[in-house]
Amino acid sequence: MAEITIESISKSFSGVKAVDNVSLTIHDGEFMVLLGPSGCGKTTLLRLIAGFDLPDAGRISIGDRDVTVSPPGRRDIAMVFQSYALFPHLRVFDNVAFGLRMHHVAREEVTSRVREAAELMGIDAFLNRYPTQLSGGQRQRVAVARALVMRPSVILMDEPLSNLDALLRLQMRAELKHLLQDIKTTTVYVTHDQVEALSMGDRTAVMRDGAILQCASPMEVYDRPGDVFVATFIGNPPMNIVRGVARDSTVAVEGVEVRLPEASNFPAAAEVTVGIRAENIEVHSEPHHGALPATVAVIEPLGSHLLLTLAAGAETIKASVRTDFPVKRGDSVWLELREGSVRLLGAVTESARST
Amino acid sequence: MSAAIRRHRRRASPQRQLAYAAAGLITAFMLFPLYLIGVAALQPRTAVFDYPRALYPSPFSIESVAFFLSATGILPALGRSLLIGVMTVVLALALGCPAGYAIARYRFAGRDLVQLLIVSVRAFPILILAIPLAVTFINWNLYDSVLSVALVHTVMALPLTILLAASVFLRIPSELEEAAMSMGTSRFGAVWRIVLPLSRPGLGAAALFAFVLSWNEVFAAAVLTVRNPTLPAQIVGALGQSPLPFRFAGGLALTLPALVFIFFMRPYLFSAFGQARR
Repeated sequence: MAEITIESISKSFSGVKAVDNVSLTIHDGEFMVLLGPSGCGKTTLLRLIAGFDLPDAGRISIGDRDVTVSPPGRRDIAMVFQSYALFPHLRVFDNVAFGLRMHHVAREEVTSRVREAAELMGIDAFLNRYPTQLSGGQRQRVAVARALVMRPSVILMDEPLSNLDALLRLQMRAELKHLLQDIKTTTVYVTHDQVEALSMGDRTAVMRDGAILQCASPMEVYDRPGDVFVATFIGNPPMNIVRGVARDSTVAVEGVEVRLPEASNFPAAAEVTVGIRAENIEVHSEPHHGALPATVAVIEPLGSHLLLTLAAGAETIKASVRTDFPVKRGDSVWLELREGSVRLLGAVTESARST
Repeated sequence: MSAAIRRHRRRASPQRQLAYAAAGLITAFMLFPLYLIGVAALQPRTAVFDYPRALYPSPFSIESVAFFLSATGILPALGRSLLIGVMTVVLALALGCPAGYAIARYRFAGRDLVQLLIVSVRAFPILILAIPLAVTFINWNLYDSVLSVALVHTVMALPLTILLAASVFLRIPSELEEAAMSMGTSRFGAVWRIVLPLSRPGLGAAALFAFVLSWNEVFAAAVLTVRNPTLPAQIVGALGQSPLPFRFAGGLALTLPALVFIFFMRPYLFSAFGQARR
């Protein structure tokens, strides 16, 4: 049980900044997800916490101990690797027992704790097998058991589910979340899968180019993204990004004014980037007051709903409607941007305008 | 198994037979002379001059071998050769493993240069080094000793040992070491408990090369010893004046220990932990 404090930490690899002046506090017992595309620095940040790499600048504490330069074995952490990193020459039992033996735990206690962890992960039938004799899902369970058996202050997970097939991943996702909620151990979980990030974390830190863009609860990140990158990285389909003109507490998109949830920082009319989720757009088949006219370009039935791709003036907008919504390609529809769900994602800058 | 795969297997089978036949031929080409030496050594001394040659020792006799072994200096030379071989293996692995590990795992300044220098050790002909080496060992009071030959053999074996060890370590994911270290062991502990056990096949091959190199090496052994020669040095020295049966028995004595060593190293050469064969 411990809080992790990361203070202005930086790490470069041959001149490239992998982690750039990042500060983050992970609360005791919290499930923190580091989310971002590959190369964003999330794995480097995890490895800095683990102690596999040492930072160029900054400070890391776990609990009230400064561990910035401590070796990995002295940090009271346990790590689950993407590749599982099971020792191929040791049986499952000895894999799980490895850490306990390194800490000179008494033989009887090793046996009982390994059995306990194995039962918890449902691998007690395989303790005598070698890792190569196990399926991917079973190896994953052994890797988690090997971390849990240490009863660490912090569990670090580096894309632990990415080597599993889709169905198993779904099952393990729920199981891991359930397990980690039960044991209440501080967890840092690295993933590039936004669904994992949304579904598992207490908070999600979205990273890009070595920096944390936004760190908040999954719903907050989904609903109120801090910028265009976060808005388009999270959610499927990604948030619609359109141009608008903001003034006071309204924004006009393609000439249609919508009220904003709160007053904007733009007393005078300013060109802004506006974000709105597909499910927050009401689609009408008749002209509607305060709705912008659009033409249906693509209809994609997705089982639970239809995803429409619409052309509204210069903008392309995606909206989801119920499956019984009567629509065909080329139809004219009217889009009502649901009040309170329109997000201002900042003023349009010169560089953004030119693209 | 689908029909397509079965058909594929059947089609591949003549090629496979061809490959086996080729492998058999090459093996026979290498082994047959050794076999003939063995046959000649295990026949009565007069049978060596028979023609056509016998394909198996008939009548069987250890007369030649016994004569060879009882010759002055042969048994002590055999013992010295074995001892030097083992010392070379131990020294080459003890020095080569850390060096190979450093090359495999660390990006240090001058890494490429070090690699080049290691290989270039073999570029110096032992012929040119022989006199300075002999002088140095005389100064160090090591001349004509087992240790001096073992040291030179170690130097000769090291480049290959280091490069083999480096390539073996490179193939072991560093995540395994990191996992071990995160569970409370030092880097050395991780290497000792995880990397070395997983490297046994590759390091076994390195040990084999070092031993065979030392066992077969004549020149340095001959220059650095006078009264305490190794077996090859002794045999080369005696070859000119010795009768034919003696030479065959010596040939057998030179081949056999290396074959026995290979036989015992075999499981380390071919076992692969990646395969689920346990």
